[in-house]
Amino acid sequence: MRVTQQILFDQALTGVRRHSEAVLLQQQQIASGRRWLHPSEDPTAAAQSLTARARRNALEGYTNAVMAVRDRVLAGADALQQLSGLLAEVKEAAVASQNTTLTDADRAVIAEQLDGILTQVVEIANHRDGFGYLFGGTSTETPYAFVQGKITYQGDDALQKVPIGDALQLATTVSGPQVFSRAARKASEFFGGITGAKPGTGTDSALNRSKLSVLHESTTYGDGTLLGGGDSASGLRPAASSPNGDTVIGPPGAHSIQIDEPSKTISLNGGPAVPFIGSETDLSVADGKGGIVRVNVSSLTSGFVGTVSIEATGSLSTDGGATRTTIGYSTNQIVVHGETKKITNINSTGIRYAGTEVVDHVGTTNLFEAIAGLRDDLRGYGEIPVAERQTTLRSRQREVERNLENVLVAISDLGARAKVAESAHERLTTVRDQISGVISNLEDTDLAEVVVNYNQSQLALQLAQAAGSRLMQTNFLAFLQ
Amino acid sequence: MSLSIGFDTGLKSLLTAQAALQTIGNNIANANTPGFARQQVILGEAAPVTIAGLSFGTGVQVSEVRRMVDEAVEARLQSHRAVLSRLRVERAGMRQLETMVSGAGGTGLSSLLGKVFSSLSTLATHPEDKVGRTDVLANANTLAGTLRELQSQLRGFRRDAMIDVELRLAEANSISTQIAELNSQISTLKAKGVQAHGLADRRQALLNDLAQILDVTTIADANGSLRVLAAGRTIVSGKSHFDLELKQDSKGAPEIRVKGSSGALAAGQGAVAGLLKLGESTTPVIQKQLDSFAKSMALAFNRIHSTGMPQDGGFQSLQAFNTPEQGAAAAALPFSAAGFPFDVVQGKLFVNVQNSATGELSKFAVDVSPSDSLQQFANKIEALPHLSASIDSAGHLRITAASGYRFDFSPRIDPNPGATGGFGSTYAGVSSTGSEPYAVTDGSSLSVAVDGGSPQMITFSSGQFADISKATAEEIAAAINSQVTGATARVDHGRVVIASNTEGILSSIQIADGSGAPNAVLGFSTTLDTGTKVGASPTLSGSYTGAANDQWTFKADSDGTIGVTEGLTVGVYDAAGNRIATLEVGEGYSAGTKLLIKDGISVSFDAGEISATAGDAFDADVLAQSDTSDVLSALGMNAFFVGSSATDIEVRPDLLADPTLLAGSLSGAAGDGANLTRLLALQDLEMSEIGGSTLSESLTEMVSNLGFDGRRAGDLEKAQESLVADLSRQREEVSGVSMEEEMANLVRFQQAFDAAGRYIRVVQDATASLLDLIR
Repeated sequence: MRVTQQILFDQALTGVRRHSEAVLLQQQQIASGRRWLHPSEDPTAAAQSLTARARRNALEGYTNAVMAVRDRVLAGADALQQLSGLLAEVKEAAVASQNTTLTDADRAVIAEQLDGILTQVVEIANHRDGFGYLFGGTSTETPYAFVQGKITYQGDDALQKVPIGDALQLATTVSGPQVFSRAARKASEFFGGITGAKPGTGTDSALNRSKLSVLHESTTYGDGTLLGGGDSASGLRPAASSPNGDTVIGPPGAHSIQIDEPSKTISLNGGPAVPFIGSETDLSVADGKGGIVRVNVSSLTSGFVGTVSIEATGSLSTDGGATRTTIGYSTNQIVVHGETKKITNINSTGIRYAGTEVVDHVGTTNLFEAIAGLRDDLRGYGEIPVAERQTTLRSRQREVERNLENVLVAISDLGARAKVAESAHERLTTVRDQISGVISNLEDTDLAEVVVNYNQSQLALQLAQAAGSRLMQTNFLAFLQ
Repeated sequence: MSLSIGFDTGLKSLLTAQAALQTIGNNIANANTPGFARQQVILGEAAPVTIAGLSFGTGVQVSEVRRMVDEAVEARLQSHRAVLSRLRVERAGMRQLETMVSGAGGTGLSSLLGKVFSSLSTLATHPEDKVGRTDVLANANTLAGTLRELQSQLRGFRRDAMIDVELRLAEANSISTQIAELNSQISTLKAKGVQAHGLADRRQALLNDLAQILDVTTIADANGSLRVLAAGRTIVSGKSHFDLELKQDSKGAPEIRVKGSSGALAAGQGAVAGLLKLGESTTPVIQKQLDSFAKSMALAFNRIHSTGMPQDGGFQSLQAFNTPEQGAAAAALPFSAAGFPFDVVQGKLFVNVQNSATGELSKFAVDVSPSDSLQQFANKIEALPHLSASIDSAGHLRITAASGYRFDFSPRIDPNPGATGGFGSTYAGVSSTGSEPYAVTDGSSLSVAVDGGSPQMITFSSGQFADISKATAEEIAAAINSQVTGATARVDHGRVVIASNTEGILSSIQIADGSGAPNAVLGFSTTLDTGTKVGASPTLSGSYTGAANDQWTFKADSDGTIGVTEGLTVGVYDAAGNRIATLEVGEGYSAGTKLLIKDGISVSFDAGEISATAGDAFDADVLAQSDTSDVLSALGMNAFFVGSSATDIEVRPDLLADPTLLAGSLSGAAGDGANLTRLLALQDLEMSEIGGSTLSESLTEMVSNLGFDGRRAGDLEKAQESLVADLSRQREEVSGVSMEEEMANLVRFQQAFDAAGRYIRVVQDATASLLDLIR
């Protein structure tokens, strides 16, 4: 092999260049703190790093989201905690209001207290954080509002669910209906029971309380063949005021009237005998149990003594008579409210008298209605039939308690979500930190290792330079000299 | 034997030694000259003389000054230097591309994409937050701007590469000129029998330089000149040379040609090949990947965004951003030929029209085909109630709702499907159970008795139908409506519903088959159906979470009153006819209570009467995607991004100006961020447009591929450097100047010279002695 100076020089240069490159790379690593500056220096690490960074970005997004969710959830829970305190006061007031020794003045004071609480409850229902109403569902710009005197929900029942993980979403709030008007319908109850109407077999859709009007329509006597529905045998006829004045209702035979023409007495359903002189065209006959008929006795058959069967038709209405359903004496009759289209199912088989029944659609009274209802019952205490007073107030107490339970459930729900958020935050932070560690391993310089390598490379470079230099000095010419 | 022969012998020896010393001196002087090959004096014995039958040598002579070259090694070295040159250019270019694409820390685009999703995630917690909306849009705008900037840099890189090619071709042309000149000189000298080693060395040095630029091969001619070929094309022949130039082919791609010829040189090795590869292969691939990423991202975002709703709800008027390439003049062209940025495919667009005052929503499905023109699509929109559509002079489609109405394209559920008739309506009604097309016969008739009135005979005649044997539901309804009074026929999801115009218990409908028995195919119930005081009024709610669009059919399983009749149920069927839910709506069901069906959708019923006998049914579209045709994306209606490549992508300008237009909602409620959640889900969406990768994976793939390519280029360069170094060593072994060797030869020939001189002196002394004898 011929060895020329050029070969020696090239070899020395190659060695110096290689070691210089290593020193330069290590200097870059130390100066930048990164293992690589270009993906080509470690493509695998670059790809892994990008994937890890994308994952960390996603996790950071989730982490920010979960903190925002937690803040909103806690804001909602705080508001509902205040609400539960207020409802506890309402419950105490409801219990106190049932004390029979209370005076009207005492009840007025409690009613005023309830009015103030109701105002605060509305304020809580319209609680806002920095972005919108907390209990408006996703309609966060529309609060509860007074519409025609009623506190009406303007929001929606949807919940804004926020992704806080790859397959995990968490709702930021509870909607107004969940807190303030969550229904848990039970069998409806009738407070009065004077008409004979009972809850039907169907399930109502009406809410809170309805006033069921059992309306008298017409009365016919006996065979009903006389003008206006009179009885041909006795000559008894309904008075002109009968449609609006009678209170009896029932199929033939459900009611009867006893006539003793010779002694000029008449009685309803065996009730007190009412005397007459024989020329009365509008005589009121009551049975002492709430039944009244207005009769025309001016054409009674002379000498008639006997009992005349009565058939009285009626209708049912839950909107004050605007929409009527003819009583069919069946186990389930649907009565529709003309405006709201809400229905109340009635068992009309036992209806015997006209009148008004308060129907409590148990479990459907919202929180505002429960407080306002109790307040109004206390203010109008005197107008409630005596027999219904305690039942009415107990019912109000029951609705307040049920609504308080709803609030507590909502608080518990929000508390659970806050815990989920906390747990998710902890998990996300841990995973994010782990990924940061992975990224650091992929990207960051191991300074101790690089510094050692740097020293080695520097030493190698110096040796290569020294060897090259020495080699250049040694040649045959120098020997000859 | 004459003494003069001795002088001759001595002189030859002196001259030979002198020639050797001259050669050594030349070798030493050119030891570092590029392309120089050492020369060696080849000595030969001079011709002998015969005297008295005896042969006597006459000394030494220089047979040849040989240029020490291994032609095979030289050729290999030249070839591998060309490869190395290409690889060096490629590696340097790859490094530049890496720096551009990967950005600082190797995470440029990926990091920006991450910020878009991160800001979407934050906004989803408070969709009404204007600052959050601005943040999302600003991040998206930065990403789009970076894509445009990067694409611009890549275009510049390609431009620079071509300028570099031109410069190097100019250099190559200059070298070719010099080689041709040297060819001329060498051949002239050779003709005179003169060796032109120096010129050959210079020519070799120039060839080495040329090989750095082009893939050259050489063929030696007999006259000493070299023919030089670049990629098989002669660029130097004898004293002629042919310049190279950079031209564009018919498709605009750059190619190298010999001036005056039409054929392109195949890119082989050398710097020019490297530059062409970088400029016309490597960079375009990256540009294409960027375009593909930008287009896929724009399409994905637009698909979601276009079907969402701005913060203040649906649109009163909406204008498309994109137009046909040829403007309004191309409104009659099919979508597939009109040049919209995204393809329109066969599918449906669901349009919601909502009464602003009552909130009543009507959902319409519009069939869209790639063969439709923009004008035909506008006509289909125009045909929808309360909507109008127009195309302006530039070709923008504008959809406008009538006063008091708004529209949107949200996949939200229609809460009140089949509002009148057909299912527990207060209006008496019956619906067909057969499927269209209906094979009705000409002259066949149907009897319809409305509200207890006399039966009305509805006669079907051929003139009422395009093809009476394949009658559509719409045609059947139109035929009935043209003959019946007191009732109206309509089409509800492909079924014909005949409903009385009277509401309540006095309302009734009774169908009877007439001549030709058309009801055998129509399938109307012949049982008397009466209206009710309270309608069943189904109300749907929730957000559909299913993966694919479906159509659910709700059918009464028996007759009865909701909330009252024991055991009353409603069956729910999917589009394939599978029963997916049974809803218990009889006794125990409180009217208005929501019943969960599946996939996030619930239904509630009012306390009406429903009848299986009357065929009570209604359908509901449950949508995962409300535009399966991509027509909204193609037109840029309610788009998020406009543009469809890395060159022109940007966030829709009016979104940037008014962040409340960001369509984060599916319901129009201010706090609804359902569409933000859908946008956020794009970060995990595997898209067929980018090979089944997610957007982030696509960027990672692009950067890592570039890294692997750069790494490979670096590795190849190193390997090639070793190969070239090895070949250079081999050349040095043959052609290189060894100082030791030259020094040794110097001493040797110096001594030879001295000895020859001494010999001449001896001969001279002998001659003098002879002369003395004569004196």
